Amino acid sequence: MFIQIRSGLSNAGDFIQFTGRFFKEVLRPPYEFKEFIRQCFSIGNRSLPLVAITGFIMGLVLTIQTRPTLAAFGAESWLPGMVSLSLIREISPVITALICAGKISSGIAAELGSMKVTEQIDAMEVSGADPFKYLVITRVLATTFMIPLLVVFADCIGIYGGYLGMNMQSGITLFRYVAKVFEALSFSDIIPATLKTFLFGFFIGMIGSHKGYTASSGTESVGKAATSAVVAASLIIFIIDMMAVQLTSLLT
Amino acid sequence: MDTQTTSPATNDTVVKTRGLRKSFGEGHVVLDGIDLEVKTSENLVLLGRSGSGKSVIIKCIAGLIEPDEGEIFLFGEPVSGISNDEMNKYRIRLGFLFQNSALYDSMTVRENLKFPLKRHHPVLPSDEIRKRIEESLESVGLPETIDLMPSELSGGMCKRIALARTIIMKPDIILYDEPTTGLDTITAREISELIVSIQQSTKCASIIITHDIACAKLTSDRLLILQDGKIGAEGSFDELSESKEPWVKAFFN
Ligand SMILES: Nc1ncnc2c1ncn2[C@@H]1O[C@H](COP(=O)(O)OP(=O)(O)OP(=O)(O)O)[C@@H](O)[C@H]1O
Ligand SMILES: [Mg+2]
Repeated sequence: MFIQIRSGLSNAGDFIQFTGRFFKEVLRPPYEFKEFIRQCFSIGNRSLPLVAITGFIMGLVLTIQTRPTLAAFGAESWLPGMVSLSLIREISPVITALICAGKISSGIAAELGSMKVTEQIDAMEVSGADPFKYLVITRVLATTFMIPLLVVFADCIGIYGGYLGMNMQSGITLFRYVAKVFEALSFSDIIPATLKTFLFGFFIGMIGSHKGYTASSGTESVGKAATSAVVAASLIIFIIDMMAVQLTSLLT
Repeated sequence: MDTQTTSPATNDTVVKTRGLRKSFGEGHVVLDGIDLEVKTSENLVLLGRSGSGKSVIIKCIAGLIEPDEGEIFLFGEPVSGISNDEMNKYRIRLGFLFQNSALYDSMTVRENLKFPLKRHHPVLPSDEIRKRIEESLESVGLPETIDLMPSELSGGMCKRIALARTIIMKPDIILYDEPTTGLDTITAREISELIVSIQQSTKCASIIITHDIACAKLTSDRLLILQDGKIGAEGSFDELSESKEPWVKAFFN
């Protein structure tokens, strides 16, 4: 037990140092712009279908589930607004981030871990590249920018899913549905929800990179890095989410 | 007058280490005072049991591992404790062939070879880059693999491509970490011959780590045997293989 706490703390210290190195080097040229773009594409490519499907299902299911309750109070016309609010404020950021923790964070950890084990990171260093810049900074920046985009995408698909769910029982045009959604939304819903997605993205990239980059030699450490990245990233996502909710309710 | 007498002296020694010490963790001493020297166009072979710290020595030389104590000189200049950017100036003239080839999985052979060129010479025109990639693939005998991914190559081919990636920089010293390990005897011999022919055509120096006595015999001008973190024996291949000491003899059986 004591040993576990100690190793957990030293791990956290390591991570903080690693994050510090990121902030120290992120603004220092040269910039690996090409690799950053490549990473953005690869992140989008890998997670878009999954995010689309889950977003759609969340919107659809949420609508179908909420309808009876609202109908009991005769407030069915609130349905579009309520569903889109819960989607935008909570459900699609968290679900998208969790999917990306499972897919992107572990992918980064496994990729960098195996590069470390097979000495590719050393080879980069000998070739005059800065592997931290080339591998870590590009990936962390890419997740920080791409996760918010994926969340916006999941929002849109989710709202569309809600529209289909609504249409199962009562006919409503898409135009009217969207108008109702926008009626219910305000900037104080959208802005905090978007801000936290940048944090989700940052930590998804950072944790994956840290676990991979510091993997010890031996092939089994690659698998370990990948799984522990998923666990740590998912946990961090919930913690950030909780703090974000507290903070926004304090501020508004 | 003065320059003529000093310049050969500094140019002559390509790599020199003095009192290199390194331990890992608490009390796991790997290197315990290593002094070695490699002269221009000399092939130095490093022998030693698995885990004796051979890879650690050449990683210290390439600036990948920071030694605890001791000094390293590259091309006559001290490089201990210098920054990464400064170290890169020396790395242009230093090639490293890694134990597992270390080809970049996500890049084609062409991109693998282009990587060090682009990094060390950012302004090189693309014609020149293409020419050098083709030349260097030609010299390892694998020009047809240029658009393949490393996962499509056999272990021996990976070694050769890694060698091509190393010599594309036209280095003055190449550090080979077990170039023939994991290959059949015929392929291993081909790699050893490739090393000799590269050495003859480019006049570069090399440090070759190997467990393969045939490779050592073919490539070595001089051998060092590592023992307990120190250099236990030194000499030419013939001298050491005739040695009376049983532990030295054991390497040659
Ligand atoms: N980064 C590291 N962290 C901790 N220990 C290390 C590290 N690198 C090497 N070692 C230790 O140093 C010792 C020497 O390792 P090294 O890789 O130099 O051996 P070697 O002589 O190259 O062996 P082999 O022939 O098997 O490659 C080993 O015991 C290893 O555990
Ligand atoms: Mg080794």
